[in-house]
Amino acid sequence: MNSFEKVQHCMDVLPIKDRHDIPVYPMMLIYPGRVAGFTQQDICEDTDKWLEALEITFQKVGYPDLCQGNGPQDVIFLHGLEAMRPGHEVGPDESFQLHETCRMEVEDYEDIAKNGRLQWYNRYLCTIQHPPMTPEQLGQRWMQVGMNSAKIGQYLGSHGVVPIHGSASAPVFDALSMTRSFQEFVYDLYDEPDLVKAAIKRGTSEVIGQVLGNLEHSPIKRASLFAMRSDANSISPEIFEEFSWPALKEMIESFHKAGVQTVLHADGNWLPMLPKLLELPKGSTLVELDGVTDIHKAYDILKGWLAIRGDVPATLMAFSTPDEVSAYCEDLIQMALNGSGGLVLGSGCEIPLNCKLENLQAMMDSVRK
Amino acid sequence: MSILAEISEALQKGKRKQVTALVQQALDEGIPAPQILNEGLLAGMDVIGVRFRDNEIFVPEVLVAARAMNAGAELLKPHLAEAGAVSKGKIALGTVKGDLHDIGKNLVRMMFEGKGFEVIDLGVDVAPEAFVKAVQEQDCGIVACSALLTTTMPVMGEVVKALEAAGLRDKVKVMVGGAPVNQEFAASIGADAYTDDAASAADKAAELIG
Repeated sequence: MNSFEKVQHCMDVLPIKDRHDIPVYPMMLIYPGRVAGFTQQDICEDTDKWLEALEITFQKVGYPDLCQGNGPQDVIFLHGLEAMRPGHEVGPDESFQLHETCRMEVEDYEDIAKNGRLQWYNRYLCTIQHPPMTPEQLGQRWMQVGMNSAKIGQYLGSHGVVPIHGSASAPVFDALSMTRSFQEFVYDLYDEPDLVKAAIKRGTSEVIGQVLGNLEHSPIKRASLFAMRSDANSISPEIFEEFSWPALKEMIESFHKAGVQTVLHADGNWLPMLPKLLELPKGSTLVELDGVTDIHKAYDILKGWLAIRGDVPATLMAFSTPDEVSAYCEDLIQMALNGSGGLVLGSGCEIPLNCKLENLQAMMDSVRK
Repeated sequence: MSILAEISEALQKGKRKQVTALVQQALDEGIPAPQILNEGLLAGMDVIGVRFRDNEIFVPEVLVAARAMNAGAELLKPHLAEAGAVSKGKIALGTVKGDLHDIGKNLVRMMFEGKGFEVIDLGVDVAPEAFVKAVQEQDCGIVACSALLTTTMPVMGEVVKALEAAGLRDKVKVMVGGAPVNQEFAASIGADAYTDDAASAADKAAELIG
């Protein structure tokens, strides 16, 4: 199978007979800069430079089956939080970081519920840029994201690598948690539950329309949803069920009806939440785990129904040996071979900046023995 | 149910206004402030800590309970000062240099406070020297370091070395935590303790110096 076939086979949760059929996806946003000898500032300000770094990295370790569809220049923007940028707010070769502060008032829930989230979010996005943008500049920035995305898609396609998605967004629940800031948002869930729910309801229909609109002309009929605050390290299963899940389910089902598969980026511990995911249509979703969720237990819950990606931990990639990485990967590979497929061998979230190249090589080689 | 038990129960449910009213009522009834703190507020936070550690409750329940505790403690402050009440010890807490993440660190702070510790919160991006300075100036018994990035984890080792260089290592215990940190790493840098959640961190701190 080529990479496109492997990825589709995996997402459709079909059994596999051979380790070569397991797609491999080391999520490498910032790490290629280190491999190529470029600074973080270089790759975060210039998508061409990032693609150059990516190519140098792939030349060393081999081409993966899957790759992210946006470079760091745009991921920083798309996160929707104030960024501490390499060469500006942090050192030129330090990783970018996101600075979460309360940028939203309780009244904003009402505004979102009444007037829609997009108008609010675009206003908000303008204010968090360095320097703040005008609406016209923001529009140009969105166009740049689209152009960069097309460029990345073209590069990956020319090497037979599959972009993980054609469009990406965040569930409104998770996005609100970040713009309002985690602690304040949690208080709002207790103090103003109806306002929060109304904002989520209105915003969700907009996100669905926006994602499907973006995918209309994309050859990649997959949408990533970055659910960074719906895990059990952030909220309780009860809060998940009451606030987050209804909208998440609505999004994934709407995508499914439109022929779009979802890539659910599920950072943190999702174990208590996973049984709810069985309510989703079979093969509708790839669940990306970051090493915090027990992947074996997750696989037992979801196997044969939804695919998972995971979860070689960042700590292992940074501080362990290639043998230890190989052993970790082998355990995951055997899980998929003895189970029912549906595994993308991936990094737990992102390959860290201080990953040892030989560890990445060990991960890549583990499905190519 | 005694009023102190009522305070504890209301706190566990995150009922901030109720906790405030009950604390005021307890003060009006002449119950000493240290007793209200220990048998009402901190007793409630103890239950929250155990239930959180045992995965019976989750972060939001801890946050609203801590918010209720702080509301009650605010009322007690002048009375505690009058009574000459002292904390169980001081902890210098911070996210290490190069790392700007603070959600986990803030949760740990709440759990430390819920155990009756005074927390010197140094914030994020904290240099090893700042931890040393806090220990020297504030007489802290524990230095607690947080990191969320594998690239900033080594700074925790620099904190240990800076404390050694300042001749303070024997006087303080060093605790480390954060998503990528584990026991093996903690041992490799010479930290005294690693815990994988905020409630266990507070328990461990009590074990170390409480």
